[in-house]
Amino acid sequence: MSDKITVKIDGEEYECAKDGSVLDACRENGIFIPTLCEIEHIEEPFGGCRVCLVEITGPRGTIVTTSCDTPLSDDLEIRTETAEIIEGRRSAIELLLSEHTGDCVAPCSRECPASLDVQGYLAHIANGMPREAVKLIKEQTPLALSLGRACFAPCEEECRRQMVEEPISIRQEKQYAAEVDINDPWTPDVPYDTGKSIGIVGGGPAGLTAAYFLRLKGHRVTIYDMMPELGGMMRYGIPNYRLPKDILDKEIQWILDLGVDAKTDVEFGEDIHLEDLKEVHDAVFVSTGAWESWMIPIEGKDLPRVYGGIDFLIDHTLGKDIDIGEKVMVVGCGNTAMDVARTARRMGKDVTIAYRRSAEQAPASDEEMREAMEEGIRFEYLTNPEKICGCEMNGVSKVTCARMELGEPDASGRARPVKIEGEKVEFEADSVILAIGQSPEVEKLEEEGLQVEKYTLSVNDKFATNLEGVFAAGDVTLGPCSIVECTGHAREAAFAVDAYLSGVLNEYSPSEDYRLPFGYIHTDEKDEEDFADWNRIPRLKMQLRHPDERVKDNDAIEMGFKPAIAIQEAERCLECGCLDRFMCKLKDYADIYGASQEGQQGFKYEHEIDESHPWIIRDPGKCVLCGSCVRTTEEHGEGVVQFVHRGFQTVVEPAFGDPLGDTDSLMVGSLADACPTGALEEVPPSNKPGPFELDKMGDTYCMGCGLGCPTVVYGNDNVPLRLAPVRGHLCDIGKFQSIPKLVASQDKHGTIVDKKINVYASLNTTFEEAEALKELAEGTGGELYADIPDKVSTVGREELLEAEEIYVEDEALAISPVLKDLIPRSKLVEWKEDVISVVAPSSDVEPPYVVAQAGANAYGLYEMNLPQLPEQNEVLLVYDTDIPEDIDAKYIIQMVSDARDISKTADAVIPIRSWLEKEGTIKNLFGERVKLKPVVDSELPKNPLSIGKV
Amino acid sequence: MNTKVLIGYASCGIAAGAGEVDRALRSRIAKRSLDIEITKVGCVGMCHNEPIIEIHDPNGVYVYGDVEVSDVDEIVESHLVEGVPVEEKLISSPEESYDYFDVQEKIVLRNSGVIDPEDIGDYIDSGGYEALKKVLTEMSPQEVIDEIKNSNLRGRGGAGFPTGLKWQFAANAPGDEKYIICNADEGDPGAFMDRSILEGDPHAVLEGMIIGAYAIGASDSYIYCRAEYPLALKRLDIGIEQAKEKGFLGENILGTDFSFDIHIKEGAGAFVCGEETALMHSIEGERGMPRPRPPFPAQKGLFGKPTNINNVETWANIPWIIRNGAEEYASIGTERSGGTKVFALAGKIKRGGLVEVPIGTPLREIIYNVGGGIDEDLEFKAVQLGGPSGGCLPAEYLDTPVDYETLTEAGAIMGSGGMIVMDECDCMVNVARYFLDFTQKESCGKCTFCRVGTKRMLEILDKFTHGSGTLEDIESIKNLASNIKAYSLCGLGQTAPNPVLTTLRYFEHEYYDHLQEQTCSAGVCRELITFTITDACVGCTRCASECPTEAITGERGEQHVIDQEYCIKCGACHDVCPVNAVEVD
Repeated sequence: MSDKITVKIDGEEYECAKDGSVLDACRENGIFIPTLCEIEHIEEPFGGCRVCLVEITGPRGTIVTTSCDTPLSDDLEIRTETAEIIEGRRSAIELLLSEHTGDCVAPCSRECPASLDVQGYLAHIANGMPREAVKLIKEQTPLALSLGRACFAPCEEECRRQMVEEPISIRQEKQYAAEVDINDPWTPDVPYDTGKSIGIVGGGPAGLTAAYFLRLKGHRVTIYDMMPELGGMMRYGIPNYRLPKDILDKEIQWILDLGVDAKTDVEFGEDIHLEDLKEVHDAVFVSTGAWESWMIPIEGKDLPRVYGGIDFLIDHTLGKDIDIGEKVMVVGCGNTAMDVARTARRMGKDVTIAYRRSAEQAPASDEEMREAMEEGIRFEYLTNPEKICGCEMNGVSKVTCARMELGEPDASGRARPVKIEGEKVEFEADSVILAIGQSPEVEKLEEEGLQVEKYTLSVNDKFATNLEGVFAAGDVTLGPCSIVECTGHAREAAFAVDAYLSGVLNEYSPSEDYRLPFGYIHTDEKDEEDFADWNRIPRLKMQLRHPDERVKDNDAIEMGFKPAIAIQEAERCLECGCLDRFMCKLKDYADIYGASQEGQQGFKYEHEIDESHPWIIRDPGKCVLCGSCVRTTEEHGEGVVQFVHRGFQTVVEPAFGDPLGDTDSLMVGSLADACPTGALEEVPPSNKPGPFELDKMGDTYCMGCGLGCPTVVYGNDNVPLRLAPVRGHLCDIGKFQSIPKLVASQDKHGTIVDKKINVYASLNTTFEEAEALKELAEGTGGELYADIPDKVSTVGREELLEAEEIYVEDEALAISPVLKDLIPRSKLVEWKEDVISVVAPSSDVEPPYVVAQAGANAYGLYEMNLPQLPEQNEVLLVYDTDIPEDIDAKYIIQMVSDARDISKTADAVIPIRSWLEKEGTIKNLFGERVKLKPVVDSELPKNPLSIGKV
Repeated sequence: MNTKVLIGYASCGIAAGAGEVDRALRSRIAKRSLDIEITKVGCVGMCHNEPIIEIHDPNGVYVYGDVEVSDVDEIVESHLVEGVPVEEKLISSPEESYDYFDVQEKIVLRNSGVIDPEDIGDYIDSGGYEALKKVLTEMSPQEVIDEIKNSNLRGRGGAGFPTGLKWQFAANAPGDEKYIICNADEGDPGAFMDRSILEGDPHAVLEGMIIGAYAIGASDSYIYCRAEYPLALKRLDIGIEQAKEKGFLGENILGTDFSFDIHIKEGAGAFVCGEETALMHSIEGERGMPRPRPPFPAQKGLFGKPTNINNVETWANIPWIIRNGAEEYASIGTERSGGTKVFALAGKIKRGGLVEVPIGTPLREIIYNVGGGIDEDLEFKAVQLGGPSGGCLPAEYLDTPVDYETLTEAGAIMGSGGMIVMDECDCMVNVARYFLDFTQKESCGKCTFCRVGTKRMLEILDKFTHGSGTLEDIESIKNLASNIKAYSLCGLGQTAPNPVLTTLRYFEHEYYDHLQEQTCSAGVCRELITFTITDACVGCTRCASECPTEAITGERGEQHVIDQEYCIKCGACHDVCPVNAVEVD
């Protein structure tokens, strides 16, 4: 009888292993079936999540059922993607989402219009890696420098740290990181040339962003801009004291250096037309912004010395001579009004802001209003200019204003200002600047044949205009908005253009990260009480120049963060976002099946997050009850966690509800490996966990003990952060305690000559290293020593598996916990003759045995028969281990691969490659030779003894 | 014939006071030095009349019901000493027999209420263990299986799988070690069939299991019985002990090569442990959680060995079938399903109790002829069959024969035999809510649809009973229900929506009333009703003193008034009013 069977999956015939399930058959043939509870290392199906639905035509007719527990049989027809299946899968996922608590991403990122990974870059900064932070920011926007200076930082409004005391200084942190990077900026690779070209009209934040992302897709990009220099409103709308031009110039130059062409002083609709551009380019991207100041229909608005806010700022930047007299009235209280008022103040003028609503209702940020006040600007709230008085000859002389009071809420929800009849007030003024808003110049767009709606250019959900091949984003389509809104918008539009150029615009939809739509679970219910136990650590504010000083010139007012301050401030981050964000299956499936958090709603239990374990965070609110951890711990013969309660109340938790940290299991990490969500999450060995998207760095053998389990290493920027098993499991010693803290390269060259050197090597020393060390020692008349074990295994893995009865000492399992998985538990007995023992028995009888070893190459060094270190030494070279106690040596050199091992008593410390960086051979405790492979790039020499002549 | 006295001593009798009656009876008889044997027997079925005393004298059988301690002396003096029955306490006599048993046919309950369940001698005297002797001496295992197949016996646990076929699978499964399990994890609210059988005639179950073990080739077995059934457990213990003494159980049964043992496993009362795979996990010492099937227990069951699980009632049928023949058994019941079914008749019924009728008997006969009709002669509204996994059937199904197929078609299930009758005062939305609340809490928590889905359904039902439901809610509860039914892992989840689906099917207007009219016509859902006192009030003040929130005021002799602001709609005033002056709207 053949052990193969033919099944039809989605119309194709496949040969599959006969004894498997439908899910196995699909997996075997690379057909995707979602599942949350099927783990490949456990044979028996669990059948809990009910997500792996398929449609099967077989002996029972055609039914939709779970694939994990349906055995294969002859003549099965399987369909994996019918509407009914997808609906069923979505329904299961929505039910799971309805009991899920927590935030997939932190509220700061959810609020960010460009969806920057705020938690991620703050973590990099806290970890002392600002350049990594910038790299992360540059995945989403090229405008790190500009945003660091001039973003209105809506993220801070949502920052949950304010429920403890104050939000994190997120913008200032970004500024710090971006300016660390400023002179030698990290630059992404530009791939091969696609040969397609795009004309971008308007080189402001949207245009520059589109240029950056389209260039990174390999397209040729030309920016056309009407102004003498690029930057748009970032240059002409934002004053220098907020966004210094030299910083902006650097950012723009960095973008141009990617190979972006720019033509300035070219006005759209005058010097160039859409027709011409379409001729030259494969696609056109319109990002002309919103440059027209709004004027209110107020009497006297046409008098000399009445300006539009944005016009004033542009003229000022262009260095034009603007006559505003001495007394300036600025109308409006948005951020542009602040820029206008503060610029006028820097011109030495007496400035008053008139605003028809109250201070609380002002759209300008509190920070800017406070700074403006510090600089001596007067605010007249509930004051509505009704008439600008003056004459054609002498211009403005005064402004008559009505006093207002707050009435019923208007459409925007703010209380409507209502005029108090009869109350009027007059202000003397030489000029009036109306900073009440601006809009795109729609007439020009219409002349070019573009369709507009009211004040903005119309685009569809794929950012396409009414004209073929013409796309648009930024202020011109959104109306006037911020840099961060424009850059987020333009990034997605750039991807749409790229899709268009690749002929797949139909398939394009804004990416999942863009404005973080439905797939992200979040918790709105948090409040101050939830954070009552937190230590109050005040926000570190960036130092500003003194108001008296700063009004004297137009230079930057922010004085920057020092590294220590930036780190300290970033450490305040609460890490609201889920650590499993990049690996969570539930989130992935929610995205794939369009399952929404709102699909099913109802009561949720509130669970305490258990942080008692040193390496694992347990968050029951994220548990999907898949039982993977319960079954995995049972596999180890343990019961670290279990199902408790019944019905909707069911949870998985440690016995008796104890904290996870109370367990003495050394296999807890494998439970986190099995967890498909963030319910059991390992905390990476860094100050702040991120989370970051980890790269697979390679695979090698774990050096946590003598078992040498095959392991995959994941990390970020050449820093190893996570070990995962290649097959089977890793223990906590391997997973969490063996990741080295890498020792940085030092240019030390030892020169000790003509001395007798004794070498004391760790039991992790490879054969190759041991040979070299031996040669070195013997060359000086010394010797190579090691604490080799009394005995090593006399049998191998196969015999262990086949043994009739096995005797185990607890101590052995504490040294090599994974042995638990290799011992069939049904065979565990008390000590007897002719059995395999896992540690050497104390009895005189010597049956075959396996000896657990702490040292990765203990077996190998035992075979080399190395002697014990004598008490007296002249020069002692301690290799890759702690300096032994009670040893006398005149001079001690310590070679270390892990910064945590550096000893204070060493006379010299020489860094060497850690086990993740080196090549070499070891013998595991079964006597099998395995070859270590370097997975981390190292600057240290391959041969540790090549550091000069010792 | 000597006069003998039987006293109903099952849980129902004891709960009604049989203990005190028994003591009084014994003491009076001893006092009068009468030579009369008193036997404690199991439930005879008339739970509504407990405590019951049966006197068998030369004139026939006299049954006294609702006997109180104060009645005992008179019964002893008049009937036992003077030979004059006490007419006013009699519910059945040779002259006028009780019609409760008219449509009933006793196979499973043949000994219940008749023999002393704690005395194997009584069982043997009534023909007990004859079937076992016959099987061991005259029949091959396959002949036994064929006999059961021919009897048309189907599993009485609920799903109705043909028992003979099930045995055949287990017998055919390769393996030397096989198990038998008796599922006595009766968990439906309002169901007490299994308990009564175990309390009234434990040997019938034991004998059935021993015969099954012989047929299948099993040498070991478990009875999984909930710890809340202490009397059943005690009588099983005694039964097993006595069967072993008599050589019916243990090594070399009746001198043959056949050996078999029975263990009792006390369950902790999780409803889901009635599901066979969960039950096996529980016996193995694991958490009672179902696992996917296949593999079925016949292939891979308890401790990974081929296992045959049957319900208490199924096992109790076996000795009768062997003794009387498959043909005789199959002649009772319907063409597709032989024999009788025991029902626990409860709810708004005049004569609740244990009922055994041929399969195929119409509901009307059970409810009206046996049960005596609706309590207080109110209007019949619905009957819930099969417990929380079953469905509610309306009046138009009263003449439907009760068998597996028709009930399934109607949206209910035979289940293990719970039958709860509802009248016009029952709100069907609330009934559905009650059963769903039960299954929701009893879900093992393993699979998504059952654990979360039933909770979300329950929340929607809550909206209805609170008057805040919407039309979309009806759609979404239907969607959820059909997904839960289709995609849940085990029978618990797959059947949990049945009460909601059947009430939606037969009583949908009540749902609409709750959301559109904001009324609960049965006057059950508190948020939707108001209590008012009409001018029929005689001012007796009883409602005012009963009211827990002091919401009722009024002078003695005057009409009382309920302050709606303080009324919590507990209904206490309604229940206590002697003149029915409290109205519910």
